[in-house]
Amino acid sequence: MNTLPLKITRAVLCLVVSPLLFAAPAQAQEAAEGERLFKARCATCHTTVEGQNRVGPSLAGVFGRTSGSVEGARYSNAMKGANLTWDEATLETYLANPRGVVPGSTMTISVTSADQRAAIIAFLKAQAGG
Amino acid sequence: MPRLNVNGQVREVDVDPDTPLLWVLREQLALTGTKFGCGIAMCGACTVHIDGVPTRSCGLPISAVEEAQKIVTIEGLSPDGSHPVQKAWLALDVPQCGYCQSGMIMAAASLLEQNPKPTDEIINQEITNICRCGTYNKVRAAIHMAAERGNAG
Repeated sequence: MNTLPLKITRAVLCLVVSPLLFAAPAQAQEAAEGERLFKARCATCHTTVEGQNRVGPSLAGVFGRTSGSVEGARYSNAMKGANLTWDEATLETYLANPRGVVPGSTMTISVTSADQRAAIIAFLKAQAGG
Repeated sequence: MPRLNVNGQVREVDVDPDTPLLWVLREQLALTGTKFGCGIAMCGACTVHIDGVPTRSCGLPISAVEEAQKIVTIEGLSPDGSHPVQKAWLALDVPQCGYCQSGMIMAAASLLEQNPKPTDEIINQEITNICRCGTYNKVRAAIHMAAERGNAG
């Protein structure tokens, strides 16, 4: 059997291995973009600091949380009764049109770009440590 | 009837609770310094302070604001233009058309409360107000100047 020249073997290995190495940084990049978007679009009303409620509730630990449940935070009556569990799927539909999902919500902004929603959700998920 | 604490005064406003704060400030309270830019909380021209936090008032229904929360508009930032940010803005001739600048000043003033000596990188991250005239370089310079001079005057 002919052995491949070392150069070609190395090149092939690089091509195979590098996507695996880049997977984690790509996710990190999405979360970094999400942080930038959070500051631009969300930070007017929300923080990711536990206990720091502003116009909207703190989003620290929002993943897996039931809607309208942060102690001491201000919620519209609509949100208090919405009974959603926040995860990738519910956040994706909600952020696209908050008042479509929760009529009567006082969250009047929306994130119309799917890419931006994904980045923000990645950032919020990273805040929870996973 | 909804009551709001604006620039140190409690005002009663006869409006639907869904009315955005920006409308109430400009129409009911005649505080027209705060501007409408986009209506979707993207541009920052409508920025006011609520308990010191820069908040975009165009999308905020007044039902979401409590009487106890202190709202400060550009008119209330200082009685006479003497806030360090306002003085730096004058010293460096920051505004061009001026339309975004109320919001820009409010955002800058709040940043300096949080971070008295911000770097350019922090300013870029934290001040997301949009300026069509492109005064960003002067905005950054004026923020640095206000940080230098501080409240020593």
